[in-house]
Amino acid sequence: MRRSAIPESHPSHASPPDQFRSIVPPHIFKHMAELPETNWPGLADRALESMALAAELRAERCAMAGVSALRQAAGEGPMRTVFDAQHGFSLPGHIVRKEGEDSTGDDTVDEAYDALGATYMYFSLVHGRDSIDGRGLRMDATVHYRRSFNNAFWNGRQMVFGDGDGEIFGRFTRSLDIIGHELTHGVTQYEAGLDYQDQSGALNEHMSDVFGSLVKQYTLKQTAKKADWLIGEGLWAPGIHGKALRSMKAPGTAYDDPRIGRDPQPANMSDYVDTDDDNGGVHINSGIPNHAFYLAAIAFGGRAWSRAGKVWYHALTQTLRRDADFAQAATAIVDAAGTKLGKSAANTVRGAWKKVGIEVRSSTRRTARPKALAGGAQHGGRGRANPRGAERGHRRAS
Amino acid sequence: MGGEDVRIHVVQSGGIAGLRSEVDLDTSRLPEPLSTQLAGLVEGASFFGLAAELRSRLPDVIQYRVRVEDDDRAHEVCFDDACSDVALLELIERIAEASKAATG
Repeated sequence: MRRSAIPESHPSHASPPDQFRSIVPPHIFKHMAELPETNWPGLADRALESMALAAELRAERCAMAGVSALRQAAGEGPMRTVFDAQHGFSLPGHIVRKEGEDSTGDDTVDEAYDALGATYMYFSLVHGRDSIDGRGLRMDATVHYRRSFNNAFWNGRQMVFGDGDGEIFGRFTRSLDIIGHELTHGVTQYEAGLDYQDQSGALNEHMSDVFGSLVKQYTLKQTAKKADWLIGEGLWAPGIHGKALRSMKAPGTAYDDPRIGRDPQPANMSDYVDTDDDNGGVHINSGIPNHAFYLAAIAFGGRAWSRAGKVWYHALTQTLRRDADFAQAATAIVDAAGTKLGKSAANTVRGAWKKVGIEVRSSTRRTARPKALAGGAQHGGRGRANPRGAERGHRRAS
Repeated sequence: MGGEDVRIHVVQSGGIAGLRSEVDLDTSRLPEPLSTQLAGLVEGASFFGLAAELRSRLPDVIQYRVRVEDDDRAHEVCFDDACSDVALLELIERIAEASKAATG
């Protein structure tokens, strides 16, 4: 049997010829995917891969057919609204662009609008998710927040963008993966609800980096090998010595400048940073799972969203617990790989975690978490279930 | 308080970049009207009466640990951009401006 019913030489941007669309009916792939690994080694894995590829091509056809097809494919399509805070503190500000309206001529407004759309498209076409909450939630964003504000964040209801001070940062809407990152915080809020403290907080950051990067890779149609794996490329102001805020490929190498210091991200548990700042170093230690994702995506090959992305998304939406530490997350993600793609994929993901210093032992059956309550997961009232994590050496932040 | 000198120490962390920075200011060493404005903002924010923890735990918000001392009192408050009131945010912005002015 061929590895896929779709020819490997098929150009990624074109619709497949009709004869390839249904050469093998989906129910046969589904049956093959459930065959025991011991009797037919690798067959189930290949069937799942074929199903994933077929779904991806269907999604791409929808994307190429425009927004009307998208609306039919998944919900009603994006419902974007961009507000302008006019450099004040009040949110959301006044409306400057609504869904379907023309460009405003303000780059910040139009970049935010376009990136919200790209992020919606990614989650809809790759994961079948209708907006942040999975139920078509409005996508609201405020730009020009405060004066020289050096940040972008998700406040539980909407995105907020500063213009940067021009000395350290430029405007935050320039980076598509940053906007994907922020909106993924919303997705996490409605799914695993990862506590924003210590290791579960670093996992929350990690998920946002993963899907922020995938939004960019999907939009640019990049393979894992071709992608830059940078988060926030182009955000630093001219003169700052740095290429991005973080690197998933090489954590700890994104910047090094006297004005901002050196990128402190570790790539391995042996360099885990123990600190009270930044909710327990959530933007520092996310480098460890980030690198595991990168390694898994490279090991799978092809496009990162097709396999690694689907595995991580399954864990985020189905099995990760809100207080998960790195070891528990690694176990959940290896299990997700087995569930979604088969045993060899689980071994691939297990190998990626091992390379960052987190060992996941084989197990035949584990317990999934109960589904998180929608919408309320990020706000207050939580203890520190995973203050430092066990069994690892820690580097104290200076 | 008004015209009384205060010493301010700020540790900033978090934000989407996860950058950390520290600022130390002594209003007695700042030029007018900046010195009086800062002392007034401390008073306007009712800083010495604030709870020690005002953090939202929302993702990517910038977090501040601010300690203010005058001749009689000392108080430290941890807050962030998402949960604080405008008076505190204005205080933070003015501290940043004063720090920039002080360091040239």
